Amino acid sequence: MTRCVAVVFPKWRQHHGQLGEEHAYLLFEQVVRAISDVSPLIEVEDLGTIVLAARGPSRYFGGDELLAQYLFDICHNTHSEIPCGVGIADSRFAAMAAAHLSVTRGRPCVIDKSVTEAFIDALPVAALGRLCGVSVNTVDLFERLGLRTCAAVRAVGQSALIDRFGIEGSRVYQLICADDVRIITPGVTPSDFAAVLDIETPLTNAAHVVAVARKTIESVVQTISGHGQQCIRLMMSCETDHAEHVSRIWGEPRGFSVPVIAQRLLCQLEGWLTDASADPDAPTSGVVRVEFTPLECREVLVVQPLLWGGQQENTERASRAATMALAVDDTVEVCVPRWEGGRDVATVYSRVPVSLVNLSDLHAGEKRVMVGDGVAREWSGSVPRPSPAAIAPSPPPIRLIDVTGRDVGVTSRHELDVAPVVVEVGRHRYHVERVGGPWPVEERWWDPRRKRRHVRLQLLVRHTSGAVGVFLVGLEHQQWTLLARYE
Amino acid sequence: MALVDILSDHATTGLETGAQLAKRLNARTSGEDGLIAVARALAPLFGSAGLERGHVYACAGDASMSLLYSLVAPATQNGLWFAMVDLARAGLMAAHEQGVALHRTLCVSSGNNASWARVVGALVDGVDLVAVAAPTCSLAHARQITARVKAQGSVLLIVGQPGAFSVDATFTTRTSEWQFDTYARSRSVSVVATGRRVHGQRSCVVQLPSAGGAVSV
Repeated sequence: MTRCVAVVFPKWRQHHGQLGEEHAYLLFEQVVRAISDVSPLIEVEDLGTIVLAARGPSRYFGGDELLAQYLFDICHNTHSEIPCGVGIADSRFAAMAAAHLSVTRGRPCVIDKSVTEAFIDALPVAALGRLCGVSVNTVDLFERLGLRTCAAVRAVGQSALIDRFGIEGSRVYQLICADDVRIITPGVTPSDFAAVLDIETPLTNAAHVVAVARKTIESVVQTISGHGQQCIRLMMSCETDHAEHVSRIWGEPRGFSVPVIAQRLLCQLEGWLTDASADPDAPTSGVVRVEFTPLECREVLVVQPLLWGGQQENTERASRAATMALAVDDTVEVCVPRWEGGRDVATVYSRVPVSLVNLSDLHAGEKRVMVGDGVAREWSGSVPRPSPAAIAPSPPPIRLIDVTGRDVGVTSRHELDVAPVVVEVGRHRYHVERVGGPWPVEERWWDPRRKRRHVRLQLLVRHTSGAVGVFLVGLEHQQWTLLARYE
Repeated sequence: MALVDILSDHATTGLETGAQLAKRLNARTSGEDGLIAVARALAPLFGSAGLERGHVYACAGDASMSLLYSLVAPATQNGLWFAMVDLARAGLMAAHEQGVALHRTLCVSSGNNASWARVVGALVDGVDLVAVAAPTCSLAHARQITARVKAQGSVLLIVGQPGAFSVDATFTTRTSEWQFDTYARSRSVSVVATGRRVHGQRSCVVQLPSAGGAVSV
């Protein structure tokens, strides 16, 4: 039995998941950082769930109640808008249940050693599925058998459970007897799958470390998958040249793949490798050593590919081609689009490096590019559809002039002061036939550093050669630029 | 009808019925003789009503990007992948509006001229539709890439001047009219196909984009 603290944000994914899982993890990093002050080794079990050992911190803070209250205050202060809960109990399962109870109560929940057993007994069996990943079928069967609480399941007996449910039955019995299946210990016995990366030059940039570590990550994942297994809990430790040290346990219920590990490592390092002005505890040198220690592996969930490949085959070929293209040269970049939203035609879709995503996960891919997360929403002030087909990566300056040769401007009411007649793009002159807009945008006017005020205009133009075209031009800081062409 | 719905649901979860398998194999064998279907409005441009695998096409004129999107859109929706090399100016929102499945789209930047041919070569090996912008590679590289395109049965689409490439068909676009009231809504584009694989002159007039977003007659 290990006394555990569980901190849960049950609604984290719903609240912060709109911009993708990585973004949600980056935001969650703030909470993880704040809680890391309490204990050197914490486990991020999933997005919104943190588990740590209670014994050390509890002594330091003078008792479980004070520790729980301290953590609850931290969570509440960093993210007051999202419900959170802190629970302490004698096993991981009980602590998680207590934390979920604390969410509804609105105050931390500490389960005393003497009542832990009674507490678990009273829990419904559905909690096993929700908190500990016991399969839905097993939980469903328990319920149909009339075993509605953990006490009823325990009464069945260990041998009967193992007899009927195999390894899962044994795990269920351990959970309801508060025998921890997963233990948090800093001194982990090295597993066969562990890998260490030594870097000769200290690296101070998180992205560089991830890039260097990529080969090691691949070899770890390959060795594990070579045994027909997948890793679901992984400890990553980093050390700087000055022997500063950070370790963290990460959990991934669906099994770690290379991009997922790379992304978690990036999260862990970005929180740590901040500059000294932002955080007095920031490391004073670059990273020279990264250790990957898989703590828990399980048999790979069976994946049945379609007969003769199906569309999966196309995806795998494309994924291989992307890898081959990346291997040609360091300067090659392969990206996939991701929907970001906004009024700027150039940044509605961003480009994410392919190394950070899993191409074969088509469902995640569809989610990544889904406009407005599937909800048809018009951004107020955005340029109406159809969108321009060719966008200038760096918009060239142009001149927009009226009949007298004077530059066209925009009044404080966002109206054109004179009608534009001619556009000059480089050496070319176009005659303006019609004008659409203007569409003004005032963004972040409350923030003096990031505020932005600009106006977009659609122009139907005719070149001296007779060709017609439509331009999207913008005015910012008294300068017109050619943002995009409807090519 | 309900049964069909249930069966098609199964296809998404990894199961497949015999009828679906037959349909897919059929599509595959018809793909062997090398056709990638295009939108009906653009079919008059092709003798065989679709892009032929192993061919090199060029899109030119003032609606080349829109034409590129509308050519690849049905194929990407049917499961083929699409890569754009050095097309940083591609408007992805416009591509989405014209029906390109962006979750099967790769945006590649080749970095420098030296590696361009190798990057494109690697891509045509695995990606069915590869679009490049105005290539400047040597004749030898162009021939190598064309040979790989033929061998792998992919399609290379060139936006702008084809450079050293020997193109099977060139689609020249010319905007004839914009429907522009308070803002630009749609436009009429005349597309003319020329080249050594095109018999006579094939042309059509399409709405690109139309008021609905995609290409239409």
